[in-house]
Amino acid sequence: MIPGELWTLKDLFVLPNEYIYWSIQIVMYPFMTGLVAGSFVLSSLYHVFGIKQLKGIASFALVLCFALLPAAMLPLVLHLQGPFRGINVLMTPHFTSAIAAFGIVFSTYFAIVASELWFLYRKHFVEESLFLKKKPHKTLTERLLYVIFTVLTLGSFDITQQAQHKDEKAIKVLATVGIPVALFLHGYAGFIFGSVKANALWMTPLMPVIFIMSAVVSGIAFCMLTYIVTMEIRKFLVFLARREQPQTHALERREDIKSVEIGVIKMTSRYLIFFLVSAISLELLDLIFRGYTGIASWDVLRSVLFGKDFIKIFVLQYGLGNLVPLILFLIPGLTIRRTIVGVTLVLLGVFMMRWNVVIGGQAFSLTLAGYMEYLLPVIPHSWETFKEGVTGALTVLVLPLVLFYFYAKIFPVFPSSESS
Amino acid sequence: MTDAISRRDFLKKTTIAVAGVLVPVAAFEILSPDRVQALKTGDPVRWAFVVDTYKCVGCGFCVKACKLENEVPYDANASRTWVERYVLTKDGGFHADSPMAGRDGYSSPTIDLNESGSLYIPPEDIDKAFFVPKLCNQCEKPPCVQVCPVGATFRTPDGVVLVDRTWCIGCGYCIMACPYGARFFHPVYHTAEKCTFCYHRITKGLKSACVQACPFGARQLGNLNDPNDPVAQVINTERVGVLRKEYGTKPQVFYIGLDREVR
Amino acid sequence: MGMAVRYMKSHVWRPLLVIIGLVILLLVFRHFYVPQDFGVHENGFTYGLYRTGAVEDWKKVTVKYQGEESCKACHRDVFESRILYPHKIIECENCHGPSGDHPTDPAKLPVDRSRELCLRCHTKLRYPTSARAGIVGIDPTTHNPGFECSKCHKPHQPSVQFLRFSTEDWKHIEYRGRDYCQNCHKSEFDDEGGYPHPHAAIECESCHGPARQHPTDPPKLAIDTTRELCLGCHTRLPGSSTAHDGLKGVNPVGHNPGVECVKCHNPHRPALQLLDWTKVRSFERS
Repeated sequence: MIPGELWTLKDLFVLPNEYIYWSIQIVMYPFMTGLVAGSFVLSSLYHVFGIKQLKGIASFALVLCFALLPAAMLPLVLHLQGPFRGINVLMTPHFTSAIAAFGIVFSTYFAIVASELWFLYRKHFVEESLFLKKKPHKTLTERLLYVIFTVLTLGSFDITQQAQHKDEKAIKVLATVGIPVALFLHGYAGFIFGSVKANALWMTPLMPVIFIMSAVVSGIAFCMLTYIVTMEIRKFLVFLARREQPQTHALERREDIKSVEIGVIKMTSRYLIFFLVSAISLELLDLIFRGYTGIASWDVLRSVLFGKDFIKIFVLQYGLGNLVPLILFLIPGLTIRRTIVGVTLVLLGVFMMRWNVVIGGQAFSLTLAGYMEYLLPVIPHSWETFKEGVTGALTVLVLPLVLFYFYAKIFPVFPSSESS
Repeated sequence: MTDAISRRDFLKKTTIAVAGVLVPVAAFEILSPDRVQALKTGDPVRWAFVVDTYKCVGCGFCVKACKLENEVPYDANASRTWVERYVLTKDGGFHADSPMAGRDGYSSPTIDLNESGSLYIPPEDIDKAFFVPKLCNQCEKPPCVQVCPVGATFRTPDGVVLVDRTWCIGCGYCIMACPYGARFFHPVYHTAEKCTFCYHRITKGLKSACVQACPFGARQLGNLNDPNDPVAQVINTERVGVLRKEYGTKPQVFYIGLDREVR
Repeated sequence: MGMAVRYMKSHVWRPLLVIIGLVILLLVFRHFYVPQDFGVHENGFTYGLYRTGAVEDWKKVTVKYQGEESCKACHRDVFESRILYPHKIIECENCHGPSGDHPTDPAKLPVDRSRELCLRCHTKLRYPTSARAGIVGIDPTTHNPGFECSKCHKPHQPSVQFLRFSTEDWKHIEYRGRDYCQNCHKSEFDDEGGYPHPHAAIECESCHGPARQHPTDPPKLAIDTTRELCLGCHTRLPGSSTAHDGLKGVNPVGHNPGVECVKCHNPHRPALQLLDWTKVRSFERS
């Protein structure tokens, strides 16, 4: 079977070699890198522009970003027909290809985020290392943690005020430099599609900009959602613990937990609104131009956009994914519950945007006289249907959360509740 | 006697002067048009292909030969070359198909519409109908090569676009970038696959498998750098067309009888 | 200088040192991993970044189709029998498959007798502007469905003169042969005025369909008067003054298009000398 034949249903006149080669994993990749870019920008808004209300979410966002990075690479590794050759992109990059930028940009971005995290948590590493060093009888976990923290200090134990001041300056520099890199990380993904002149739907100079706007939207929304969820879980855990042992003082008091600051959420949602409006404006602009100029491909595109994909585009992406959250956030008196609904819908909308671009661009044939339907594998019955189906997508979604859980043990994300 | 130049001196100086002039003059060798053409690309061969759609009868022997010669699995639903059928009806209708890439020829008047079933068109309703063989255009500015992230596909000096099977990572970007649908994933090697003009044959003086197999001479392969080559003469002196000229790919496959409805 | 050293000694540079170390490791790995012949060759960076060994790899692919000239060396007899148009234009290997290292490997080439092979060209498709329209053909759903074409037609000598009339297989398809017709329809077999009968070579049932149990069943055989029946043999070849095998032929587009051939020509007595000129002249005037 030709790779892609399994989930492609052809209709009318389609060229023999045409199949839906770029599947759900290629939808996941820009979605994940969008979350990466967005969460980084959110973190930088505090470190660079000093927006005080975002302090609580800044570290959280950066650690989440770091957890998202390996998860962003996973869809590509799963999708490549030759995954073990993936390193070739770093070995012999052909820079006329947008995908070749992946190797350099990703590595640079990885380095920036890792470095910024190091400066942010250096003091914690040093403190933990010294504390564990003094401990005479260490459990296995403690021994492991001791090694990790000592290595992470990179040999520097200087946590004087002077050193910390240098750290802050370094963080600021990295956070500033990282913003254009984060934008490039996602802009190039848009360039990958926008520069393909062979594809009538993808070909537009607006594509990189649309991708960046919706990436920032998704990043902010994802951070808000994870932040709220994590805070509520912590509050709930403390509530349970206190019910069992009401006398204990060592436990955190629920009141000590910086409960989800509605102020942080309100501030962040303003940025969300701005980028939501930008994203939808650009998309509509692209659509209007295509309809107005009506070149040869418009007939088949129109039948796809307004026919087969109408619900996916206008109901799910524009309606539920953009218009409804916009209304929810604009209505005064924002509550946590309304925020949760809003950001979930935004994430749905961003996901649908990726889907409508990647799958939508393969929904019609090069002949402009045929169609291809994508049958997403749900129940896996082989490695191929696992990695390129719903299960593969879920793996990619769950991985950053798993990583984040482990990262949070090394990079504590809630500064007020740090225990020494 | 002081102004007069000695005979010896005169002869010496004249010889040197003439020799000196001859050196740059020698650089301007009288070039024949053949050599000018060859010098333009610096390679003795520049492969080009001519497809005559008037002659193609849709027998599909070319597709069969290509699959067997180039080890593309016979039952795989993809091919390096394929034949399309176009049927244009009197009511302005457009119908086209390419069942199994035309591998089994066209032995039925019903058009294969994939999920939409099949459609029988009575002969009296047909305005014109014809077959169009297609293959990789071996573009001079191939978009597929431009987008390869690792340098696994490239253009040889003699004008054929090849894929390095040991280096291709299988990202599929080249397949997406080709405006002609010439590329696909090989089901066994899991690398990008496309027509190579039978590079292993043409570099030995043989013709591509499809060219040899066509009983009606609808496919011709030639060398644009040789002005006496019949294919070069067809391209230069007859009315030929190319596919998707507006994309600027500079395809090297030229069509005789290219109808406006060909996709 | 001292200030600079102290500045460099600051912990701030440590992540950068780690990164530089990783990059160096990567470059070392690259040195061993990337083949030596990988680089930018002719056609520049955009179109010429590749491993030159790849070109040699492609040149090394084995040639499978040898071409009919190599068949001629041993199978001369088949070649001579095929010199009559029209199947001489078909490469041997199209029907018999690639010869590869034959006769070493494969020792024998397959003989494909399936209907599908012949129907590639010989399903009649009346496609204006395509050469397909000029190829003789049948409707596979009505013309002896399920039977191998080679039961009656000789693939190397496909002209109607060489149809396998006398074999047992011919009779299986309910064709009875001209001897059966001659029992009753004697006048059709008579000479007239001594003119030669070119159509004597054609079996009655080629045009009238299988006799089966005629006159019981069917009581009457079809009389096909369409132009297509005659033009199947009598279409002039492009660039020639005759049809295939030297037969007399016309250009269908120029020779009374739309008019049935039988209006002027008698299929049983087709010699031009016997043409009914009164009919021809009256037709020309109308």
